[in-house]
Amino acid sequence: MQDQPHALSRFSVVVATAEEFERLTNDTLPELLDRAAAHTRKFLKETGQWADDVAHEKLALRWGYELLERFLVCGRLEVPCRPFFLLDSLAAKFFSQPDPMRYHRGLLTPLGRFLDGLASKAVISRDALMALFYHLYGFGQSQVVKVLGLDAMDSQRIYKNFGRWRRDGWQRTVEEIGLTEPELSSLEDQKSQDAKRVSTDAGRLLGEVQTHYRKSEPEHFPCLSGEQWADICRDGHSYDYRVWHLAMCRECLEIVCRFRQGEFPDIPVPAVDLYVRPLQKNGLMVEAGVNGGNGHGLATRRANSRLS
Amino acid sequence: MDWQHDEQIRAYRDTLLAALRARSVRQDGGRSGAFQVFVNQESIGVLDGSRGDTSRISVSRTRAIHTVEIRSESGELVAGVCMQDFDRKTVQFRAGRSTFDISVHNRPDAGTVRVTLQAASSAWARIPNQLAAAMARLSSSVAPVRVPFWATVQAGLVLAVLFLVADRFTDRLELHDMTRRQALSSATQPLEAKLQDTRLALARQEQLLHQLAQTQEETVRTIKTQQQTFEGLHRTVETVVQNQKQLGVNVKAVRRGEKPAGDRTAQAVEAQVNKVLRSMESDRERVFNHIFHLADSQERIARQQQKLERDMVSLQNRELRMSFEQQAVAVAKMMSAQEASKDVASVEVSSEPTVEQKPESKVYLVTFWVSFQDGTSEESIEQLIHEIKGRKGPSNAGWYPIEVNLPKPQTPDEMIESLKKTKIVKAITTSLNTTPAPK
Repeated sequence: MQDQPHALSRFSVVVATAEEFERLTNDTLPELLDRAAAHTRKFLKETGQWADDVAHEKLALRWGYELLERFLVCGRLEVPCRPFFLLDSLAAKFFSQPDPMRYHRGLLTPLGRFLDGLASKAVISRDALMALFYHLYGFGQSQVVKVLGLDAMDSQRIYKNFGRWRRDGWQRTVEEIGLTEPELSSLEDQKSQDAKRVSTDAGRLLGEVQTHYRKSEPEHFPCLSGEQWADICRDGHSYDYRVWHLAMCRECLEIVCRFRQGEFPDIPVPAVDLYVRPLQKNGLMVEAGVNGGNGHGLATRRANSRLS
Repeated sequence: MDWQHDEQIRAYRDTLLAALRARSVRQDGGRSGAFQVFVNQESIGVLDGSRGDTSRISVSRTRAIHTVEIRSESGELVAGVCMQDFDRKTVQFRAGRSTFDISVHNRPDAGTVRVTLQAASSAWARIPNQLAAAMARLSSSVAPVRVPFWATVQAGLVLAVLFLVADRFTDRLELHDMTRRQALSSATQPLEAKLQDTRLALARQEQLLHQLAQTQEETVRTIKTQQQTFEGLHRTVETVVQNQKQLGVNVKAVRRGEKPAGDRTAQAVEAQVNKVLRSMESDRERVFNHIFHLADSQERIARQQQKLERDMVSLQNRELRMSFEQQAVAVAKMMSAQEASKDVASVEVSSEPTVEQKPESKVYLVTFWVSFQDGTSEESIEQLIHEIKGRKGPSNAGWYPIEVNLPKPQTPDEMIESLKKTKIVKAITTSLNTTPAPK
């Protein structure tokens, strides 16, 4: 009973400078995270999208974490303020949007959470965006370069993207999604036992996920026809369009891959083929896939042996 | 939920808290490379910080801008602004060596954002990037290589300095070796040979120093040229800025409807012209008002005219009706007099048109007897009958029966009175029983 007034006074404390704001938020980070997660939980309950299980609790924590990340950066500019109340207002503004977050029952399974978390990260991270080509279709760096039609300078960026993702990006993303090692292993086991079923499930969920997260693209990036893609590939313009849209749209990627096959016969038509862990540095699998064989099936076999 | 689930959630929460704490630590580290800019969680483009210069992105939206976020390629949130509706903010973030200036303005009709990245990398840091870019362009061989002039100069300077340093270093090593060799051979070689070697070494040192001085002079000249070029560039920029300011002032003046100062005559002429134009404008407005009033009056007059015409028609109709009633009354009186005297009817007035009369002519048949002066010729009698458009019957005791088709406005009495005034008529009667005495 004695702690309650103290807690209340702590919530209503006013900070006058950016330094005070940082000091207070560092001290009260757990409370702030709980408060942001509580807002998410409340929103899910009020919209009839809540169930008392681990998956929903993790979803609430994940969205609370993303809210808190924005709050920590933006809040410094709002001084003087009451940080806890400011967090409340940010959460209210975020959840008052028409479609603030993607909620789908299928996305609460380990497979769904993996795909949803990966696409969510790809929206804000170029490393994750490029890694999508590998995790979803098994494309290596050189194949990504060929499919996107990049020059030597931008090709280097792709290799850097894959390198950073391999070094710490994948690990950080998996931690933020909340996937545990047993869950990742379980996904890999499922794929080794029944790859076709996993690919079918992943393809079905991928449509949901990509449709939702494509809204973060620039608004003038709709799906294009075969002729329009052929024009873009031939002339080499619309760099952002190629990089953004093709990573987030399976149908358009298929069109472009078919077009590129005329120039690069080693590029396969993309089929959903899930890879849970990042591409290793030696890239043997990718090289083997690109330089001969059927590309896709061979890639799967080698990746499994390497990742195990 | 059981304790295992609680444990999972607690572990996940701890992981997220650790990530948040690690994030604040990473913020202090240096960052470079590309940064993605998001407006309302929508990507608007990339700012490249690896080039070491200033890059900028501007965008406007028809709706208010609520969030602006700048993220590194790994997705890390580097800078961000949250906005209210109808808000304006200009903030600056530092991320490693780079500085972001974010300017957001939410108006009622639109929101605009401008993000500027000032990458503060040194010239030394830029050279490898530029060389790498040039090499990449060369290897791609898509387009001809266009290395910037300053990058070339800087690269040349670097190579020259490196060459000099390496040269000095090797010279020192050679001197050291030579000294050692001299020490070793001092016991065996004569003094003359030692002196010769020393002279040679000094000459070589002198030659190297001369080369170094030349290189330094060249470097100084290059730097001076660079300075002059920079000064010229600076002057050009200043001139452009001044011109822009002047242009701005002129534009403002033109917008205010004024001319720049110094052209008094033109200003006065323009003022007079404006005055005349204003008076013409007011005259035009006055004339226009008059025309408008005239048109209005004309319309009113036309309406009154129509009304008057209608009144006149109704008045004529009323007068005709009244005269017709009077005639009917007179005929009725005459008929009653005829019935009372039981004489031969002499005057017939019918309100209805006769069979031979056309309905639209509205004429009445009148019959009366006329006695003419003695000696009146038949021709004169026929002429009179013709004049009054009548018909003559056979004479009875000097009285001629005459039938006349009388138009409606003329009454029989008027007709008879007018005939009486004729010279050849002696007497007129409407009935032979009431025979008047011949004149």
